[in-house]
Amino acid sequence: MARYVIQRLLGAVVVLLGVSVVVFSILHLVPGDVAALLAARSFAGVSPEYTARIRQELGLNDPLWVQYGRFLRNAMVGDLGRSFYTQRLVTTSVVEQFPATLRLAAAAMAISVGLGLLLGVVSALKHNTAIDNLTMVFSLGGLSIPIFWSGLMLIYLFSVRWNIFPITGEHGWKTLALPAVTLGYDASAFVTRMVRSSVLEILRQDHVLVARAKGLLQRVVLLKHVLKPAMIPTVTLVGLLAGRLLGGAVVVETVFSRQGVGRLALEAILYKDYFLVQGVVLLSAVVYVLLNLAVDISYTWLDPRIRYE
Amino acid sequence: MSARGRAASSRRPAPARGRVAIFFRLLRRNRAAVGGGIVILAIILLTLLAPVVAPYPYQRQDFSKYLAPPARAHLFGTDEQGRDILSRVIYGGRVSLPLGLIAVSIAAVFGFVFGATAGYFGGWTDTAVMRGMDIMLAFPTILLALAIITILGPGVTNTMIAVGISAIPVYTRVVRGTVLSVKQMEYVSAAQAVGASRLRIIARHILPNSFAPVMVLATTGTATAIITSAALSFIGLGAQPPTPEWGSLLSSGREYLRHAPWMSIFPGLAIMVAVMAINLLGDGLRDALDPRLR
Repeated sequence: MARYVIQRLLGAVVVLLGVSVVVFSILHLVPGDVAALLAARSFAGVSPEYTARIRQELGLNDPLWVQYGRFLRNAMVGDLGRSFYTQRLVTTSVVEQFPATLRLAAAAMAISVGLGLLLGVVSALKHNTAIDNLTMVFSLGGLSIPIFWSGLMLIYLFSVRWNIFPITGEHGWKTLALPAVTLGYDASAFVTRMVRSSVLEILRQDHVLVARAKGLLQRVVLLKHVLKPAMIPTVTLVGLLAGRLLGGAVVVETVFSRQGVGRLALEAILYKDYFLVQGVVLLSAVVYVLLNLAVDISYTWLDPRIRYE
Repeated sequence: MSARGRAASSRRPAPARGRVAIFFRLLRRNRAAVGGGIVILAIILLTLLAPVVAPYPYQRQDFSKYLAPPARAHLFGTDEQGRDILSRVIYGGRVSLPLGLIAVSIAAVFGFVFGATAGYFGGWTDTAVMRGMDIMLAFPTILLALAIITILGPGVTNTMIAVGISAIPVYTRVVRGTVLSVKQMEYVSAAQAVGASRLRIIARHILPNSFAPVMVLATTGTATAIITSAALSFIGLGAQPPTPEWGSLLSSGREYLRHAPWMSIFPGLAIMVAVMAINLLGDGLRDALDPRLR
């Protein structure tokens, strides 16, 4: 087990180094001269001397590997530069926006996992019945309805027509409800399908037959011998869902005009605020990688088969 | 299978044409998949025939009828410039559908090349390719697409490229996995034993047999790509107005949600119907190609 954990940790370090190279290259692959872009935005205007000074200050004249080394060293201590516009530290801006996105993602995760478990189990137990078909149609909807549309439709119905939820603003759970449902429904389809197929597979296994044959109560068979092992694969989904939720947050935060990391990323791209883009992309990737690492490691604890491989 | 058919199949291994026939028979039996396929064909026909079937030119403005609700003259209503939404939705398919298709083609082609290389050669090649893919997978899909758009700039072509590139790792993984398992098959060892060249083995035995999972993935992948590209247009990075694209139509409809909800309802419905049909077909393909379900 220790070997597996160490292996996974080393793997994560390699991946994170690769991620840092990708994020570092964004600044060098964007069209045009970043120093000139920055100069154009300052009051001093675009004089060649000023541009040269900025280039000097940012260290853009150094060889690439020196620049990368500096980028990595600074990133390790949380220094990702300052926003071109607000002049605030990128890390501060991103960290400030994280709680809002985290709240949205957590609520959406709870909805998708809760809904997905319920529907997945029910449709597997009622395999090939009308209930099963209905559930599958519902989950097909989750896969097929774009979140920016379902979000707009929820706003139209619940905020414009019926006035139940406020459209925007930070009023606690009331403003969180619609965005979380939008994002949660989208992700629930994956959970439903996965739970359904894993319950179906387990129902066919011998140990379930044995449990039934020895006369255990249906309830006990279901809870102990079917649902418990069926839950294990869904844990990996949490890691995968996190990526979908983080990505979906960009869209949902735009639809609902919410604060958050996704919106910050979008604005940074629209305004060519490259350090901020780097910061958001890097931090999101780090969170995503660490989360998946945690899921993988907890998996060895949940499923003993992996430990002995 | 008839007695004669059984006799024929015992004489020689199932010919490729026979497999295709079985595949189509299984696919036809799946009513949902057939329905999905028909809907997709209908949508493709509509978009191809847009100049004929659209009731108005998509850019024609009628200022006497701006923000008009759905009525006989304008079945889906009109937008803030008095343009017919139905026509714009039909023309929108000409941008949205190819966007998804081309993005998936990019992902599938590169995924096939990387995955087959990694799976067949193994060793260091495999490690290098798959580590690269792990790094790409470390970014949530939309964020990776956003990072690529930051570099390339907004627009339809760049959206295709960004969505395509960000999907490459998924295809690479699947192709590599399939190639690894196909490589173990006896017919590959047999080909090696009779002295077939490496290139011949890859081209004649491994690639054709690794094709099925990619086809399934590419079908559902097209659905995802259509949604992702529309999402990028919706947030203002993909197709730019006045290009009628489903995502950007929705994005302009958003501002008039209170007074003209039809501007948002119909483009969204178009995306939903197209994507749902593709997903149904994809599920059907998967079931028909998965031998375990036969």
